Amino acid sequence: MRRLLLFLLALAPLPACQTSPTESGVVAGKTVTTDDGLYQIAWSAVDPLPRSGGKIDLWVTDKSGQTSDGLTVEVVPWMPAMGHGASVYPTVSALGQGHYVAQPLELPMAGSWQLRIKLTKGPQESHAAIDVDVP
Amino acid sequence: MRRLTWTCLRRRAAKARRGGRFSLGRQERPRGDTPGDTRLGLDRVVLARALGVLLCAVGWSGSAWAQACCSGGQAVTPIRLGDLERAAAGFVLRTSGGLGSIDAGGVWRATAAGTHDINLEQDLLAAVRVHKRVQMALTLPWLETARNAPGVPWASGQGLGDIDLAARADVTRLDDARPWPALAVVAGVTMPTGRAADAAKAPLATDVTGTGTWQARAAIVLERQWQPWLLQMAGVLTWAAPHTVGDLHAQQGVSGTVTAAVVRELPLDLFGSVALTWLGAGASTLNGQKLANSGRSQWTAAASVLWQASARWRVHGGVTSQVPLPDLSQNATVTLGGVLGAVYVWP
Ligand SMILES: [Cu+2]
Repeated sequence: MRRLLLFLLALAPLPACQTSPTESGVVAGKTVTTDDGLYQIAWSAVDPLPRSGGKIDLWVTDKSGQTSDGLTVEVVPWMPAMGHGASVYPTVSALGQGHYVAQPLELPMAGSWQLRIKLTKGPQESHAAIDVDVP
Repeated sequence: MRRLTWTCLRRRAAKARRGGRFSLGRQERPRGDTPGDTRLGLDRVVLARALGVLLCAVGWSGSAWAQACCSGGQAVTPIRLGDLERAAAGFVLRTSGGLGSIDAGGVWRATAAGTHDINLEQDLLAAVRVHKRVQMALTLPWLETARNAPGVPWASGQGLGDIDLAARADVTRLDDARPWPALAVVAGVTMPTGRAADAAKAPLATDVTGTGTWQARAAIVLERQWQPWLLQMAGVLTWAAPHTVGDLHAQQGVSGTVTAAVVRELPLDLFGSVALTWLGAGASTLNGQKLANSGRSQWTAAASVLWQASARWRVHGGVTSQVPLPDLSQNATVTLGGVLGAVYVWP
């Protein structure tokens, strides 16, 4: 139930102070699970993402559905089809209750990008990828 | 050594001018040839010109130049000598603007409102015949990119691109091969002399001018002439070396291009050509794992015209665009571009 609420929260338009709406004002969001199955990440970002200065909100829960704080979160932009990343990596801030924000997202080229996410807690590293399109 | 080579070329050119045997221009054609001589002289003259426009059509169409950061899809040979040509040097100006892209799922996405991608490239080209059947070609590219986005001011950057070296061997030549098509094999290497996307410093990565990886390619070229037509089919396989960014070890999938080009002789010393190229690439890998939906499929069409301005000078211009075929394309950048170039030939 808590997970569902978090997911719905991720899908819902965020308050104006938290997001920069695009012309269309559409907010994209989905949930991904880390490769090791330890975490679920609900995410939200404007759709389409701008090429510069964008941001993504992440809500991280563990297997039991509890929000996960105290994680080191890294977000690395990657363009799979072109085999390259970006020279600017976003800074990730922890807002509490499993909520993390990564910005700025610098995705200068049109096409399909991946935001490759690494969650670290102690010696444990978990990985997930979020697919986004930049027009 | 270099001086000796060029002196030698000049002497050969002067000899060719006197004798007319290796001439390209109409005014220098041998007069009073027998039909047999005409096959060696006139046909080869026409052929040499037609091959000149092919370099424009195929070189431009076969290149995935839409994005400097992308490996694969290099031209078969960026500059190409006809059978009777010993050396050539040229300058090519290319420009393109981004129209949109076809994403990993094959869905067309127009460039966002208020966003612009403008690319310029100047190439210095050189080719020299090192053997009756073998020629080498060099491309020195300089690239400029300008971009903007909503809320982001225009940014621009420039720099040396990825230098390309190619060797072409004519297994059979057009005259010898009839009625079969002539066969040539090409090997090329592209050096990571440009700035890779991961190393961009300018806003909106406008200073990206290369892939950041070594690339090697091998190609087979088939050519057949039915005057006034010349047809070419070329297949190229390109392998990109792995490259490492931080703790990410990436490698692009092997890519292949197939190009079909048609050249036709026109009045007034003009030649026209059209070419269609398909580029396909396998999935790329990251830290040894294949990335889903990272393959590419892209169609490019080109039309160009070449003018034999004088015995030694060729001027060519053309337009090119990726064909937005959403169901037949994947991870394709769609641009509309133009090319203008001039090549000086030493017979
Ligand atoms: Cu790119």
